[in-house]
Amino acid sequence: MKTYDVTVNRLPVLTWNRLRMNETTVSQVSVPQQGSVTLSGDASFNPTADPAPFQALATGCGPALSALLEQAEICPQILTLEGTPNPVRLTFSHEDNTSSASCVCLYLKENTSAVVLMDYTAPLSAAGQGTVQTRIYLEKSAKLHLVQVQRVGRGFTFFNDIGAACQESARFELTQLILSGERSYTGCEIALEGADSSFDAGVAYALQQSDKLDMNYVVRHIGKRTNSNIDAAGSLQGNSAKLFRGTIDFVNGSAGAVGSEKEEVLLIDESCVNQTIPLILCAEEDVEGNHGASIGKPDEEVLFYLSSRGIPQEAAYALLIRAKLDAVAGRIPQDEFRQEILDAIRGGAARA
Amino acid sequence: MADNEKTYVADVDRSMYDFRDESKDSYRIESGLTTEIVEKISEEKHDPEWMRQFRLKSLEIYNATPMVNWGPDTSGLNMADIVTYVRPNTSMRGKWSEVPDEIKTTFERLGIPQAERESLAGVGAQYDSELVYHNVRDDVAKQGVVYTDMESALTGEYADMVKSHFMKLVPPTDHKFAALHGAVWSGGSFVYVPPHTKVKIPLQSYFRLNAPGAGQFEHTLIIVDEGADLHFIEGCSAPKYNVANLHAGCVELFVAKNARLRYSTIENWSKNMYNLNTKRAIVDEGGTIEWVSGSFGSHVSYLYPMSILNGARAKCEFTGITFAGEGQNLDTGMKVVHNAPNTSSHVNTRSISKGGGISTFRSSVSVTAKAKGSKSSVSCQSLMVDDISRSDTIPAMDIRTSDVDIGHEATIGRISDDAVFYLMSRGLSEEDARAMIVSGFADNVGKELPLEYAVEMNNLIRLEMKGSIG
Repeated sequence: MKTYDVTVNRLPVLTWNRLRMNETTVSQVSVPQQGSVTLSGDASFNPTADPAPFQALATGCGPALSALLEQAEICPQILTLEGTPNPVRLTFSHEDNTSSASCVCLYLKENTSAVVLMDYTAPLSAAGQGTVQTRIYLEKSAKLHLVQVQRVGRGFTFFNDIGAACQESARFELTQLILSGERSYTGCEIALEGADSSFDAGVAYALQQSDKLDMNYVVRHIGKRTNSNIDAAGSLQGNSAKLFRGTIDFVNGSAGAVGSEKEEVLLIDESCVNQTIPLILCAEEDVEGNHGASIGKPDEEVLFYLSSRGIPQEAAYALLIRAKLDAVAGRIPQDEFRQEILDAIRGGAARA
Repeated sequence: MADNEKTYVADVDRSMYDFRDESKDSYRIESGLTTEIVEKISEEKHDPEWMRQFRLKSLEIYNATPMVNWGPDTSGLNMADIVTYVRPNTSMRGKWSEVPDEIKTTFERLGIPQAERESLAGVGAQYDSELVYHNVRDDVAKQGVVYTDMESALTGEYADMVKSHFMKLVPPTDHKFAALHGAVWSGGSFVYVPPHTKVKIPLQSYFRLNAPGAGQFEHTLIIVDEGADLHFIEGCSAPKYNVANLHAGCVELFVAKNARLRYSTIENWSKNMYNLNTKRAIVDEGGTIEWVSGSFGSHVSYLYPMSILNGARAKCEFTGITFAGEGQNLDTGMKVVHNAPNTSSHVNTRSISKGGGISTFRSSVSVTAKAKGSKSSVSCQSLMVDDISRSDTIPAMDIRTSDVDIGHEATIGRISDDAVFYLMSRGLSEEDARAMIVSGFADNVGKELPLEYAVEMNNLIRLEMKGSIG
């Protein structure tokens, strides 16, 4: 099978090349087959819907991944949501030793309020390549809570790519859990085009062994009084490595905008590698932007407290790792799916 | 306050730096950068053979190294137009009275001799490509402190020490303008502080680039030996011309076991200057490097002082401020490498953007696997004064061991209306309230400078606070 090098997750503004954070080139990427998506709930894909609103959307992983999907003739599947539909669940199943991709486009009409759950699954022992690209267009005052849970096989290379545009007063909430996968590439670019539109993301991950996680979140504040918040938290064990890129971009004219990003990383083992690069780009005076990062080993006082309560060190570490995941899983707005994911975390889907 | 007098935060006033002397240099090499030009500079400077070879090798590296693909635009800089060596019409003097009048007047207008009398242990003054004055107080010299020009150091008593340290910390392969520096460097200072010697008042070098279309490539090499202590101040300015000038200096600082070095810079180059300067320190066990950096001038700056914490418990403190006004694109920041156990770094920077100026804070904190028990905290704050300017923050962290405590925070915002309102409710005019807020914002650097320099920096910010709201 012919494979390619694909460059993803490029920073909007570059810095020193020696840091190897500007972008990531993924080797041995194969051209995928059309993936399998199971849709449950009342909604159904609309094969005659207009793809035009989605075509101009920039995504976090970037044009090279989109070009790969185009080369593979991956067919975009459009889901149009209106009113207050029941939560929609999409399950993307991946088999061992396969390479598949799906492109889902979500269109929320004016004043729609919807919950969409995306579950990326594969047998835990499986290897392969998976890609899900999600393109989102929110009309005026639409509200979307998108939940994405990645629980693919230990040997999987997985691309999870998002591009979204939010019109006036639209709100996009994103909850992402990365529980497994050998090489994970997560991209997300949001254009807050309309005034008073907002984006709120909660992201959690637990890496172990030689897992690699490479992330790129970009929020462009274009409309006035737009608001964004990105909270990312996770843990690194073994020889795992993580690179977090987060960009808040205040475009000129975004007066009154507020953006913040925060990252907390728990470093468990000596040989893990953490890279973090949180950018604030600002071409507007009347804005507030802030970012903070806290990176280090588990707090000694917390470990001492847990130890004094009879919890052995290994169990205490597992508890702290799971706490990061549980906090984000708690954002899942549908009870049944939330419990399923909490159970999966406890059951070791994240190998915590 | 007059009715028509309104408030704004203006550019830094550079009029006190913007005077120019008629260029009366005694030797000026032709513009451009060729092997012949590098050979001629080497010949003019009576280099030892190893230095001649070093220059030629650096030129090869320069020609083979591409420009970086990040940072501000440097397309207005054409090396074919830059004169890399201009010798002033004097040799170096040890007495101020012997310096030619027109050069003396320049430095007197900049306040250098007065500062020397009042608050410095020694002064070096560079005019274009060469030092014209160098002096160190007798009591400091008696302590064994060596403070001399680089050319003398290259052939004098400390020649071996210079050879073994010169561009070892910033090799010509580091980046394109480090290679350029290696090829055409001229001037600068060499400082050696013997073990356990405390220099109680600062040394200062002042760099003045007077010739239009010229480059200044001074090399500063400071070695602070075990247990010693030094504060070194660097100042720089130039008059404004309508052609590009280039500054590609290099600063190499060696801080030995338990030694401490504070390196302070107030940079106020003119707005036609491309300031592509490289500064780096390596710190041994228990040593401390303290950077205090004020960037006010230049058209384009790439400036990121780097600290390599190479011994256990080595420390770095970095305090910086950048003020980018109209026509300026100042890309400043810092780099630190934690390469030994229990090292620590503390970074506190501020930037102000106004009048279409672009300010970028760029940093990297790298912690190697050897740096267990290390700590780092980085705080950067940016102030946008209008909506035609730009301010970006690009901090990177690369952590390769778990036993660390790394914190980072950044904020960006405008002058708070609430703060202005509060101060006005206490009787201040709006103008004074804004002036106070901006000065307070810059206070992190001001309080780290000797009083005379803090006053100068505050004047730089305050002088032009009056004007009109658009």
